[in-house]
Amino acid sequence: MKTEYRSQLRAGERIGHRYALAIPTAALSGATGTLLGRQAGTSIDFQEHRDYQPGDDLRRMDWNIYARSDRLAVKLYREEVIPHLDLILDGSKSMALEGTGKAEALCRLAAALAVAAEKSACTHAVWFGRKGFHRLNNDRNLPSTWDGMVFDGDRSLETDLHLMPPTLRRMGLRVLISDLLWLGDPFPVVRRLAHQAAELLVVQLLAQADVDPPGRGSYRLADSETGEELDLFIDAHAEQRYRTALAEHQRLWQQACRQTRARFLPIIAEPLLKQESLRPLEELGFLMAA
Amino acid sequence: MMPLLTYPLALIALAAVPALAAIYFLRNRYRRHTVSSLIFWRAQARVKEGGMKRDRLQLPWVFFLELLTLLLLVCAATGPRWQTPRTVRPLIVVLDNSLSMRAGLPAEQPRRLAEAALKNLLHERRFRSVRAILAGPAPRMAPGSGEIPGAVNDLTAAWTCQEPNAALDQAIVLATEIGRREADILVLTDHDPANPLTQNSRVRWLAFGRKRPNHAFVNARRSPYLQEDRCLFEVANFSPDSRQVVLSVRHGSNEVRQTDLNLMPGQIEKVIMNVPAQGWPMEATLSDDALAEDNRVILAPPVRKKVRVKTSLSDPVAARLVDRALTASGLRAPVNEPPEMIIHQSSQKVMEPEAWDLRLIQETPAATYTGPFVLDSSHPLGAGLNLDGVIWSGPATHRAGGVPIISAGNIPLLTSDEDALGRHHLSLAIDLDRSTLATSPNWPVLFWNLLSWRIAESPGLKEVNHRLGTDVEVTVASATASVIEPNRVVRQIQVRSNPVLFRPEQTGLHALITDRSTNVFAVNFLAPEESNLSGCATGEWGGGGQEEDIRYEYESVLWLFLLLALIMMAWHLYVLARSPVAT
Repeated sequence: MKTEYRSQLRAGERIGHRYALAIPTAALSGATGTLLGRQAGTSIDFQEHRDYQPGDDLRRMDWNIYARSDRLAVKLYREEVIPHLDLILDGSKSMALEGTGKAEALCRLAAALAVAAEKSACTHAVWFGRKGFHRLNNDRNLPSTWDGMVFDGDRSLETDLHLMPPTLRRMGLRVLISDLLWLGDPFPVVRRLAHQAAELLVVQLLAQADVDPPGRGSYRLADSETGEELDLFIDAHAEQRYRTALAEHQRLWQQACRQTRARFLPIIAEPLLKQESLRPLEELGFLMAA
Repeated sequence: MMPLLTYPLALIALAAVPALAAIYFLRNRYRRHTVSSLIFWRAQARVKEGGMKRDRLQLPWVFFLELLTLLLLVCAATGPRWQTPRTVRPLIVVLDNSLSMRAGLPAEQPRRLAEAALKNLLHERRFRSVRAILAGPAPRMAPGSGEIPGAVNDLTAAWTCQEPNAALDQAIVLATEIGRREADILVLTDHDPANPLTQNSRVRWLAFGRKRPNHAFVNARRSPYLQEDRCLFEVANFSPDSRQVVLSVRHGSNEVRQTDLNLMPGQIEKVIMNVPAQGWPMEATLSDDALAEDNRVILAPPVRKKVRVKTSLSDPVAARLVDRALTASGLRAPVNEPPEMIIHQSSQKVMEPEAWDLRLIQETPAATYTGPFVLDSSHPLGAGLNLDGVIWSGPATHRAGGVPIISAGNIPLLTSDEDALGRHHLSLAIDLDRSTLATSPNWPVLFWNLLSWRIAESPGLKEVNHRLGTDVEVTVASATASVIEPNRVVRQIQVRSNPVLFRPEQTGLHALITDRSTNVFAVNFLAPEESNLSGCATGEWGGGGQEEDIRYEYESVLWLFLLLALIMMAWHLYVLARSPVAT
């Protein structure tokens, strides 16, 4: 793993300490933990009464109600849960495009989210898409100890999802960080990731070079993943067509996210690396100051 | 367009063209650029492959505008000049019309080659006008010449090449005068120029001849000899080696002689033969060689003309002396028609139609003269006379009348007077009894001269066998005459004064038809210098012309190229201003 990535993990770790996840209500389920869940549990916080049903614990019978109304009722208390965050990272070659800060921004963003999750008493898992999805080494620990972030995947994220999908926690928070630059209908991907999730955030992490095509001239364009080459003369019209196609691509992803109640956030890598905050996520309401 | 490489400025400007191309090449070559994905670019490539031909150009429009502007400036730097109808020169073609232009096989004849060269020249270059001068013994304009360039066939229609020589120098002088020193002069001939052409001459000399062995008749005569005709043939060998030539002579329809002549290089062989004095032409031929026309001569029978002389002398001594002299001349004809000459002793002139008269006068008082005598030797009567030692008894005093031919001091002894009808009246003042003239050889000579003069002045041809290129002299009594040429073409001759001179243009037998008679005469090609083909050559001389002379024919169009370059530059600015990249 490159030292640049590790330093960005540290930077993200530093930034993440200032944030906490804005956990939605739907995400309050899971293993017994420290946060009050949506369902009745074993905590000391009274939730409601309900009629006794055979099999209920007799110790939770409210005898006062029986005494007053001759009706058997039991007390219900709130359960305590630990929410979970799944970070799904794109490990393809395009994320480490030479001359861009996409990979570094991904490291910083993932680290910040993981630390923010810790600050929110959430567990987290980091899934790295590289020839199928695998858990990062030491992903439960501090981000600075993560290992195995090598961006050499030559398949699209959609292919990796089919090849070896991540084991995502039910009703957990899920964040997908990718440049989303592959050809295909985004809806199946978004629907799959959003299935049984409390919330899905799709972060499209683009480099400035992805947004602004090369200037006027003749270029032999090479695909960073497949190595395929294409000779083109780029003029003002070609540039305009590129921007239009990118905007249309983003519109499709946004539409797919809206249909699955997921959220879509495009981020440019280079400005993100210059900031010591995660203002876009904060403005989106996904993070909040700790 | 003038040659490009001779202009350093143009070369420098031309070097900018590859520099510009290199700049654009380096600027527009494919630079490798790695992108995250090609998904958005691949679609564009498909669009371009589907149409939009304008986008296929890898180079921007401004490159072509800049390139075009540079090329226009390169052309402008060469000082371009174009030929315009206003600036082109006229062309005068001097055509060698001598017979040697027809030497050799038909396809190799200099005339054929020269005509092809003229066609090529008129195809390659434009001239304001094209005129032709036929160079024969005297230059003359070709009938087909005109101000507007026409077909070569029109120009060369009269180029028959049948002249015995070509006065090319005179033709060039005539062309220079006609062209007012502005015209290009093209000489088409078969030999090199006698004098080297000057470097800046506008005369371009093209020769298409070739040295060829040739033999030819160089002289042929037929003259009366007693009761026969004597013929002389001279055959020359102009070949560098010895040749055996067959000479065949036909008299009428009979072949009278066939001789093998062994001729050394440059040798001229004389063949003399007598033939009966019959009225048939003689034809002599030689075996074939490079030039056919000089291998054949035709000799018409010579004229045996005599004078009808009537004597009317009262003095028996004088009558006897005159009669003897007339008889001795052999030119006296019997008087069965009106006389042509009357010799008398009357005191007055005799006036008869067509008759001359010689009056013998015995003056008193008489004086005897021993000389010296003044003799007009240029007069026909004075030819051959030598009066040294002659004692002449004539008049003692001067007596006016007539042009003196023989005088003793200021005393005219023989005078001639011509009247309005052209008749000559001669007066011979002599006392034959006291003079020794009649006993000297001068007496028959004087009468031979008299009759010969009369014959010469009588109607008809002076000579019946002529060389091509010489004038035929004839005395015609009527107002018109006509000549039937060998090709049966009839040529009318206007008679304004006698004798009439005209020049035949063809070889062969001609017939001269007048009101009274028909005379046959022959014209032969007898030109040793033209038959000698050893001086023929092929080559080109002169005509290089100075560069300034050539540039004179081209008008400068520099302004046009500069104007176009300015338009291109303005267009270039307009394109740049509208370009989205520039904005």
